[in-house]
Amino acid sequence: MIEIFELNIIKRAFIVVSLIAPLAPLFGIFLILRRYAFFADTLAHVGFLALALSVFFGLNSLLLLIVLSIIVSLSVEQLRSKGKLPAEGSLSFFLYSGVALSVLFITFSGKTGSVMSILFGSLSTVTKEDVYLILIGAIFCFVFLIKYHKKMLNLCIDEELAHSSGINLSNLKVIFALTVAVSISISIKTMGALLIGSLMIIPPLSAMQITKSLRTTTILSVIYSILSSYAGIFLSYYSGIPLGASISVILIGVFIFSFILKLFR
Amino acid sequence: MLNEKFRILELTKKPLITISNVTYATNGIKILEDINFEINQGCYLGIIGPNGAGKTTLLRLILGIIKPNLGEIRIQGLAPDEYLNREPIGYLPQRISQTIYEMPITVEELVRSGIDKYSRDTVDWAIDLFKISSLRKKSLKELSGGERQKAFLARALVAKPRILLLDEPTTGIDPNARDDLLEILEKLNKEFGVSILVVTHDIATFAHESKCILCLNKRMVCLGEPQRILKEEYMKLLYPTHTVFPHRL
Ligand SMILES: Nc1ncnc2c1ncn2[C@@H]1O[C@H](COP(=O)(O)OP(=O)(O)OP(=O)(O)O)[C@@H](O)[C@H]1O
Ligand SMILES: [Mg+2]
Repeated sequence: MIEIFELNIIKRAFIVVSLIAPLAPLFGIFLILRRYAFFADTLAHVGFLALALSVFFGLNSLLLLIVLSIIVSLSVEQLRSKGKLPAEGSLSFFLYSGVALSVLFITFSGKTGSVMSILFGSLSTVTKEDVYLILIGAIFCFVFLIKYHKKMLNLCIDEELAHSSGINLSNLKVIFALTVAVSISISIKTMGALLIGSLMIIPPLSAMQITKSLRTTTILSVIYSILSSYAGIFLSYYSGIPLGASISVILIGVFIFSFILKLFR
Repeated sequence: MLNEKFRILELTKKPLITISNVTYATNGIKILEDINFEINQGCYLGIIGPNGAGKTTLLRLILGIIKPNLGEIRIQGLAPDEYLNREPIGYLPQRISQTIYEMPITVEELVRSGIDKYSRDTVDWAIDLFKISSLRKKSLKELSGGERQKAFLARALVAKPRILLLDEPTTGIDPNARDDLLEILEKLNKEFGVSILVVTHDIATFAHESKCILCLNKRMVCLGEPQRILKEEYMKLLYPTHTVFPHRL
């Protein structure tokens, strides 16, 4: 009985990871190029709040997570584009608010045991219903990437050039902010609020050490991400390390591998 | 036959960019004041003026990147943003944001980013135009300054725009490449009717090339054919302490 139950968990983890592992680094590339990696961290910490709220109220956490992330993401983009607050500053505000309120709600819920899996990810917190939501979210993100990757590339190269190519920058930024929020939300239960950024940022960063073109960077970072995530599932299962942490540990290995490879080229 | 000819004549006379009473200021400081001019389709306009005269600002206004505080800019009767919705404008900025040099992006990928629908022929054409086909697989950060300039020029032309705005295109490129560029621009202008606006400090060169020169120094100093404009009296207004044409003395 127990074996079948565990087999199901592993199977589910594989399905979810197969969806989020290719997505995370693709968004990561754009975040790195726009010098906006901190954005992912902020959204992840807001995700921490959403999960804390769902522990407190006993709700479907993933839906709450998606909604809250989208709201925060759009507000940050709005603040940033209007130039009302410095970008970094407004991000920090949401990050610390997210963390402080999360701790508050978790303390009052009396379930402090759930903190580990919220922060560092877990093999088993993803429910059957979550899988469907994650699938829908992932399709949404893939459609965005297929439709907008060229415009996003232009945005990363130079905003004035993008403008003169006829790209509506403010719309594009809003859609991007929204999709990043979705991509982080669907990954957070697996990777954990503190470590989702690592799946987005480390694979492209590792790839960039040894690649010259965007094409190879994209392909290599997706490969890195998928392989590390699959390996991470086994590491987590056999060692009991939270899933996000075990994937991240392998990603660090990949980064060092790329770094050494670069030295010997 | 005659009718056909007449239509072409009429077509070339159509106003392309109309700038009326444009004033632009930031932080209460006027950068451009009361700019008024109209250029026709198929023009080849050189824009000259001292550093800080507002030349780059004028191009950014035409592109709709910044909006004038007063006055209006129309491209074929449309606001810049509306025009850009329909078709792109080829733009070579004076400065590119430095972040791109940290990106792993090849020359070919940069040029490709300039068109919506990838077509190998078009990309090859733009790359060959500036004789950089040997660099196409090279990363942008591995290029020399002039090579980068050529890559961005190819990017500006790849969409085959009908309007081309170039901000100091000859900076950093060698005399041969400069001659090539001038030849390309002339061909685009004469044979394909591309309208070109060039900001330049290379006055002597563009005096030969362009059909029209605009002298700018916060305000419009003068606008007209090069032979009429490029006289000491006007140049004194632009560059009071410098002799632009020493050989004429
Ligand atoms: N973003 C900005 N904020 C404030 N002032 C600006 C800004 N951009 C330009 N300026 C000012 O506007 C004036 C015109 O700048 P602009 O870049 O248009 O000059 P330019 O004619 O292109 O000069 P150059 O020949 O050096 O390229 C300058 O005095 C500059 O200080
Ligand atoms: Mg300038």
